[in-house]
Amino acid sequence: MKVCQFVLRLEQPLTDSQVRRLFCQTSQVCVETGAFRRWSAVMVDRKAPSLAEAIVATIRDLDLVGLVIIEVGPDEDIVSSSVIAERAQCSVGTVEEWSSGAGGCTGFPEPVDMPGGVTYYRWSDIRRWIQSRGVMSVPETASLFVAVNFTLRLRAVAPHVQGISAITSLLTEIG
Amino acid sequence: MSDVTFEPLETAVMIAVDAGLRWVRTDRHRPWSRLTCPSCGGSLDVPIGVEFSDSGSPCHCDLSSEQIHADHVARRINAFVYRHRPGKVHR
Repeated sequence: MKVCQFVLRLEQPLTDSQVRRLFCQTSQVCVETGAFRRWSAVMVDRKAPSLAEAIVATIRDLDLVGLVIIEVGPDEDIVSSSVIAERAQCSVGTVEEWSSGAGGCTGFPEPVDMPGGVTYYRWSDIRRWIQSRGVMSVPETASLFVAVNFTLRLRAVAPHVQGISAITSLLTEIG
Repeated sequence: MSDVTFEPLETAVMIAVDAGLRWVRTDRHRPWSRLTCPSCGGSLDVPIGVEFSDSGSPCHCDLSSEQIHADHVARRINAFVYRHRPGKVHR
């Protein structure tokens, strides 16, 4: 089981009652509401065998609370050393060696200037560095998010489409 | 909860206070707490209980479940504080 991280954008901000019900359903999420309540998102740190299974389980949790998901996407960019270690499948000690330049590692991205002086990095910078160094592979997830979002849209329009079973049979022929 | 480290979580809670954000006192029976930005009303709901001292300052954190790791919640709090720091356009 690994910790899978991603963000689900919602149709509208949650009510307090929905937040309470969501946390009763799962404690592996946080809920952010944007400035002036213009948007809302559920940010997920979920243990699961795979990212796909983590996303599906979370969608089902949100379904039970009656939340409408607009889009599922990659996690926010700010990451700690331990998150980098989880994603790169190495130890925190290895990440610290990279950042200190030990063992001849150079060019490790600078940390973000965080309030309180805690050390966090941008995953977009770290990912580029890991790939350029070829130290290990980071799984590509773009196609997975495309597939999930197509499925969410299909699910939303399905009740209004005549002959939907013929269309969804195309999907059952996959894999 | 042998693998749970509370230090980063408690540090994140205090950094948020120092940055001028507010923890909303919630019902003790609710397994969640809310961090709000007084400038724009943006908020972050997290599945932890933040306990307050008599002076109103956060003094203790409890995770509502051993399934989550304190470090992950701490990251969400720190990232929210970063997005709502002074001088930043709040979205």
